Amino acid sequence: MREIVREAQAGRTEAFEVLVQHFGPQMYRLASAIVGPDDARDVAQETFIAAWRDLPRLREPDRFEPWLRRIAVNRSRNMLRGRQRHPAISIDRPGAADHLAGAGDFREAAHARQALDGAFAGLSVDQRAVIVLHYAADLSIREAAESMGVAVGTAKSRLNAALRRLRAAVEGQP
Amino acid sequence: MKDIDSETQEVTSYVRDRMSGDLPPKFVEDVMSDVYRTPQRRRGWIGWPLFAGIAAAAAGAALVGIGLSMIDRDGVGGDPTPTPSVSASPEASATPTPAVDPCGAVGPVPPERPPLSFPPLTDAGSRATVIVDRLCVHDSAGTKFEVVTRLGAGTDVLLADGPLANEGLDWYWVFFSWLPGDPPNSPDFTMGWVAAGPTGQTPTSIRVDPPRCPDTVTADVVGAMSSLARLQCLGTAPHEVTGVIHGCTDYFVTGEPEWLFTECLNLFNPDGTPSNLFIFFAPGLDTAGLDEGDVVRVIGHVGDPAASECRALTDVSITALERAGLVLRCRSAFVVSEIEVTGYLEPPQ
Repeated sequence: MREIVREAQAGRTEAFEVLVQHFGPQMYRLASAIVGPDDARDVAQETFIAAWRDLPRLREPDRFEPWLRRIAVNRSRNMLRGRQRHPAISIDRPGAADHLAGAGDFREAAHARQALDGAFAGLSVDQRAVIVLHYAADLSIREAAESMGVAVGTAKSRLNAALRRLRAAVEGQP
Repeated sequence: MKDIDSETQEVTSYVRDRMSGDLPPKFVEDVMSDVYRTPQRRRGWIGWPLFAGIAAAAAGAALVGIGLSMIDRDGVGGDPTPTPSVSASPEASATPTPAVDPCGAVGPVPPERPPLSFPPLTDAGSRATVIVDRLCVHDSAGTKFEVVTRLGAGTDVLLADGPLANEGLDWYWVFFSWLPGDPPNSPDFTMGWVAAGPTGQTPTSIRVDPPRCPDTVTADVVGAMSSLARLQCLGTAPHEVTGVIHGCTDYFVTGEPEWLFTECLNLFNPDGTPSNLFIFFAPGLDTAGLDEGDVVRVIGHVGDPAASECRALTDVSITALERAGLVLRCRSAFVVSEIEVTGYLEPPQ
């Protein structure tokens, strides 16, 4: 992968296409989790365009993936701030509620999901990002912090604050 | 009531579920279609991400009254429109003062570059106007270094360092817009070295104006000041500012001392508007319990002694110019020595 990144840094579009194919799904899902599925495509696309433009300035090709994630997080932040709104999350998405652990009854799961949607929409962009990076992308706190460009302590603080709000939403359910 | 493990499991499951979905059709094709039309930004320039503190210069100028766009161009000859162009051509310049810097003979870059003059920072932080046409901008302080562009008469620049004597000339490290009309936060807002005139004499290729310092120091004002203006105007004296803790964004270089690279928090104004002031916590400062949205009163300073030792941690070599910019960023960092939480506001979105 390092060599592919180096080739893309040298301006070879075919190498960059390999990177888009490899990291595209991951960046799309990350954006989808932070900004919602409606805006995820735009965020992911902007992420790769920005990455291509600034790729020659990436000093350590080995760090391409966290660098790309950071761009995606920043683009997500810009998207949400620019539109001054939180994405509306549909609870009707097929299978969404079925994946809730511990929700044996569909209605209960749907209610829990709705509560979590509301709580998640109330999180700051940075809180959303850290919780997605840590719990969904399976990054360590240190890796999540690196992807967001913040100190580990800051990431922990944001994660705790986000968890408090989401747990409170779950706690309020039957 | 559910237990914490159960709640965490539900939260985890919910977040994982959000991070799902297949890549939309034609995504790769659409991205590549844009890529083919998008030029890459080449290295060798000091760009916005690495030098955000410096790039705040023009915004700072607006606030502290040194707005670059407000420079009086009366009496300046030549084309008043800045017309930088990319050229590494060694041919003689059309400048009226070729004796100052005929752009030299562009060739292999000498291995030893002249040191930067930290400290002292004499004229650094000042604004200046180019008063000759096609003034050569080199990537280091000497005629032998590559000519990265030429600046037209009337181009507004900010002095980042200088004068530095080399080859019998006084050199200034200038901060300028790569393209006319570029916003100051553009990645193309960049830096290079120009010869101002014979060593020790009044500059003949640029007109230097002294910096104007702000009357009051707030997070907004400090956040918008250029790195050099901070050092000149604030010195190393402690200053009190108030704001709202937010977060640190978009800084991808790791370095040491670590606390100058990682322990940064963006301080917003109490009304929620961005102040662009990043604060750094000195070692030993108790920051436990600080959280996003906390309204704080902080006492801090720039020019921290530890900053002069700062360096990037990377296995890829960086240019002398980039190293110097890094030191500049560290030196102008607002280092907090005292902090007090006075309230809480919902973090701005």
